[in-house]
Amino acid sequence: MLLRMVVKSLLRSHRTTLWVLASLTLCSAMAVMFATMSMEAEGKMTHELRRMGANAVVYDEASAGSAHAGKDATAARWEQLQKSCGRCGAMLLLLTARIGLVRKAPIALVQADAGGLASMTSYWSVSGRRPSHAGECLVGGKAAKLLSLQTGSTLDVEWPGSGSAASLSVVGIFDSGDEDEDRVFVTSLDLSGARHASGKLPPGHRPLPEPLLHGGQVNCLSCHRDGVPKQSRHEGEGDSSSASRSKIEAMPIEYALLSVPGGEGAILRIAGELEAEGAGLAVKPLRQITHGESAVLYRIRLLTGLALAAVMALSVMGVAAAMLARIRERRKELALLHALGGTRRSVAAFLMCEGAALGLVAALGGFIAGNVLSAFVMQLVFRASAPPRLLAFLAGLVATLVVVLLVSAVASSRALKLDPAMALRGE
Amino acid sequence: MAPSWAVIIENVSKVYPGEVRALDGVSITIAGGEWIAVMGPSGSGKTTLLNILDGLDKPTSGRAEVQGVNLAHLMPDDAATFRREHIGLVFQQFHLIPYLTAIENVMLAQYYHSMVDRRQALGVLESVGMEARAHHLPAQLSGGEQQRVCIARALVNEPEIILADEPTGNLDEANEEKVLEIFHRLHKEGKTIIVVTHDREMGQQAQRVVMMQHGRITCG
Repeated sequence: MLLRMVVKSLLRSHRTTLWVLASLTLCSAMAVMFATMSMEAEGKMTHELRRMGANAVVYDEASAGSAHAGKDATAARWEQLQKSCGRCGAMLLLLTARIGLVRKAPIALVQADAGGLASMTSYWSVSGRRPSHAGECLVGGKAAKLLSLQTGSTLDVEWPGSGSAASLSVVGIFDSGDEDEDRVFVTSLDLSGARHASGKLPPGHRPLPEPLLHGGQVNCLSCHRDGVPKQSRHEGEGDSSSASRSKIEAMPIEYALLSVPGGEGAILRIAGELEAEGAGLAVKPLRQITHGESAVLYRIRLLTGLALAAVMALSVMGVAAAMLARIRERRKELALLHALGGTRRSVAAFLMCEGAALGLVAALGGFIAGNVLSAFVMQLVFRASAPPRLLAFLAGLVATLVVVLLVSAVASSRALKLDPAMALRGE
Repeated sequence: MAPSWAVIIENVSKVYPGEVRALDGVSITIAGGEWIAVMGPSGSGKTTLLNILDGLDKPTSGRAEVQGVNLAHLMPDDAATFRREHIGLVFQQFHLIPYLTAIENVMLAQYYHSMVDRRQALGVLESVGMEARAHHLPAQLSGGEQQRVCIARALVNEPEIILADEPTGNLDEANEEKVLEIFHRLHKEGKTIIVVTHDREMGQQAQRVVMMQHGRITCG
């Protein structure tokens, strides 16, 4: 009987019903769309943000400081990293760094694939251009300042221990806001001969100047210098560092830049995996980048949340106006239910059932409309599809039921305040 | 042997906000199975008295006992429970739910009383000559037919007391007769009938006429 009454009463006042349904369907559609978007768009956004470049750096902890680190073991570690990256869709760029002497001052030269470096460091601000072939170099802002280099300058590098030298043309100077700025990047630098070299420091060698020594936490070279000497110091206790240091500086260092989709959480997962596997590789997020990404994602979430709240608030107002008007129109009917012996609870239940029925229909309609909308928006913004998700349906259902039950509760409380005797008299 | 009282009203007053005194110290007793007509000009307090008897309204003071229950002290839900157990209401304006058919309107009273029984509902409609129109909506029925559906709804739970507010007020002569016939039958069945009416014919059919004026019983 209750179900029959609910259906018939909703069909009877079809205009109000349609208005309420439209408001609720809109609310449900928006909830579904925002839920789908937040689920889909977050993944898409992190992929988009990955175009901005690397968000983590990896350095070889196991071989750090060991001039005799096994070549095969090192290769195996990087292979392990590549596998971990492959599993989570991260991009990887291997770099090789070596300390060279420029005007008797030591400086880190980093060799990297030009295309790979460009995609991983697209956030760098480069004045001039990036190097495109051997013999060209891109100098970090700090290093350029220290060595008084400008675009077009020539950089003469000596390799400690080997006696060989190279002459590089400075084609660009970059600012990264990171410790990379104390380095020089080249596309091709033959460092293979230096891998096992343990030459002595040339005359006139002096320690690295402070700005070059103290990078940030992710500076592979700094880590290397801070971490490894433990062993070196241990080995050569009492012996001042110059011999050990000369070994270190003559030895090439390999490290990698990672672009991991999923932000800091995903980076830490990779780090955990590698640690669990005993890979001997340390993964550290580039905080500036990951925090930037987190901030962007947080703002997107906040925006969608606020938009959803606004839509829900508007829906509450729209539905409340219609349902309260409906209560006023039905004063006699509700008074009659009391007169026939309906308790306050049973009359309220009748109104809540009406609301719930509308909510369920609206949730279904909203799910369809919401999916169409989210597919359209996803296509427009990310050029990607957005498959329907059960979780989004549940979000729409919850949002709609919250709105409709809230409004029905208000409407019911109004209905219960009616004086049935007066309402039946038409007063 | 002393009669068993269906209704005992003792010194009942009802004052609405603004010091509007609808009932002013009304006292009356009605025996079970009695047919009473309450008559008087508009605003004399007839409908207020009826609303106090069915528990839709509460007296400001005095004692209003129906079937041994003092309605003055009942909470709204208890009054609703009392109403569905003991009272059948007939309205001048019928008050049928417009989107329910005649039989569904009757079943609605069953729903709030206990459980719906379509066969019983149809039987009651048959008793008021409305079985052929059982599946029509109120808008498809004449005034007289709607009133008979309203009476069927009042009777379906077999209440001891029928309270009718101007049951023939909106009916033509032919339909008025039909309604009177039904009331006669109910009286014979032993129901207590209290009818508020302006209709002299209706008043004459009752066993006792109570006249009201300015919220007081002036006669009966």
